[in-house]
Amino acid sequence: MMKKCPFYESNIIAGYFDGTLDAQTEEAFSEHLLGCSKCMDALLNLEKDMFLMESMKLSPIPKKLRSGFALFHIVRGQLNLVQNLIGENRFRAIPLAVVRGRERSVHTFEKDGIGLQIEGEGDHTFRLELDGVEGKSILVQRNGRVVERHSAERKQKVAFRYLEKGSFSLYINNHEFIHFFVQ
Amino acid sequence: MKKRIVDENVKSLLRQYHTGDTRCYSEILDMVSPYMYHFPRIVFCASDDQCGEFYEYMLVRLRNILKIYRESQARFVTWFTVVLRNRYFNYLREKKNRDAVEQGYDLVSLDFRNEHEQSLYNLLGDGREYVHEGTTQYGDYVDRIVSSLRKNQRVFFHLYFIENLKPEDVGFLAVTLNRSVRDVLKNIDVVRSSMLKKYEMKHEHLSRLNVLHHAILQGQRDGDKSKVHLLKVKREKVIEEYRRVKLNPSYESIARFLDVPIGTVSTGISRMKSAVRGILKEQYDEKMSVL
Repeated sequence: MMKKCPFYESNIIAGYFDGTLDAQTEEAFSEHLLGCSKCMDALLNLEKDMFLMESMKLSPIPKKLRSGFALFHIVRGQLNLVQNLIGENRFRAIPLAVVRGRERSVHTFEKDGIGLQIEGEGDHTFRLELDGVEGKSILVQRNGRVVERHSAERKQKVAFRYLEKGSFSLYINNHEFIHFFVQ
Repeated sequence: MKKRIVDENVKSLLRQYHTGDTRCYSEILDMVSPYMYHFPRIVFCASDDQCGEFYEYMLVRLRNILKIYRESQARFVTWFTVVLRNRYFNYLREKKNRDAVEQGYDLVSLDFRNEHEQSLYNLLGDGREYVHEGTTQYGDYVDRIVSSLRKNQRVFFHLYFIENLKPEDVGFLAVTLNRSVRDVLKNIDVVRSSMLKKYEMKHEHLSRLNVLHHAILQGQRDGDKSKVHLLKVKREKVIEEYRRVKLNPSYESIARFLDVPIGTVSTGISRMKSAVRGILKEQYDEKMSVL
């Protein structure tokens, strides 16, 4: 196994580049640099990256990405909302019961007459339930890949169970309904 | 639009954030978002789709990343740039593991860049491509040329073919010129500035190549052979235009770096080129123009 370089650390690399290390670290690192191609490589890359990033134009990011995102964490089967969506359509927490001293809750989201309910299920998985989807096609993508496809012809509600952590996009009738992350 | 991260502002927000005030997170996010989103495009010539995907990848990790930030005199943006590069490679690795089939498709821009760098076209006018198994061959080729040059010729070689600089070359420049590594890097930045227009042109060509690549894939999916053929011809032309933009710095910037008159640089580069030609002839019995 390769020995880890003690100096290869973002703060040291950045500090040396900007000339803000304390005298002792600066001296030690300068000496170390001439014999460590990993650190030298990091500095050389940093020089080029900074040059390009500072001289090229940064246009605003696409609107789709600016609309915000919801982020959930699963802790022992409980889904906690870490970051909510921005704007009017946001997730709301509805407390369910106290289990093993912890309050269980379900998170709901509503848009265009469709309700989405999300809650933890098992230790590392969760479930989604969609309400008001009769006659609609539903597609669930996880990390950019389709994991569920459903056509709710006569059903008002559809549930997807035991979903694993990842980046999720839900499409209803081929239109993006919501995008969220579960970690 | 040039929206930059103002060091004072972001550091003040981060201080607030570290004390537990999570309300300022959205302001920090607003500040760093364009930098984060455009990083793969500007540095690795990635496509818009890939930028979007990397942005999302970073979004779910940003809170944890910001937690490990330790305030120092160094600019936040410098630290963040080091982090972004490391994270970008983590993202690529994860993506590769996740979907090996998609990899070839999404990394096309990066592959193209590497393929180009592994060709001696820019360096010596050599049109052969040293990809995959040829990478070592290419490295050996350049190493042999470099090690056969005299010290002062090697200095001109590295400064003139600045895009091919390797970590050990920076060390060589620092020792030979009796400068600190930081000083060498700052001067490399100045030399690079003289090629800004060329970098912009290269990026423009790569954006066009990305668009063409997607159009070709779409054409292939639609089974439109004539459209694909036309697009491929067009792509060849753009690749040729891309290759024609030589990333060699101005003599003036090299003169400023070395603190010598431009005439000295001009003579030095001309002698270095003729030495390289001599080495090629002697070692490989090849007659080759040196750009």
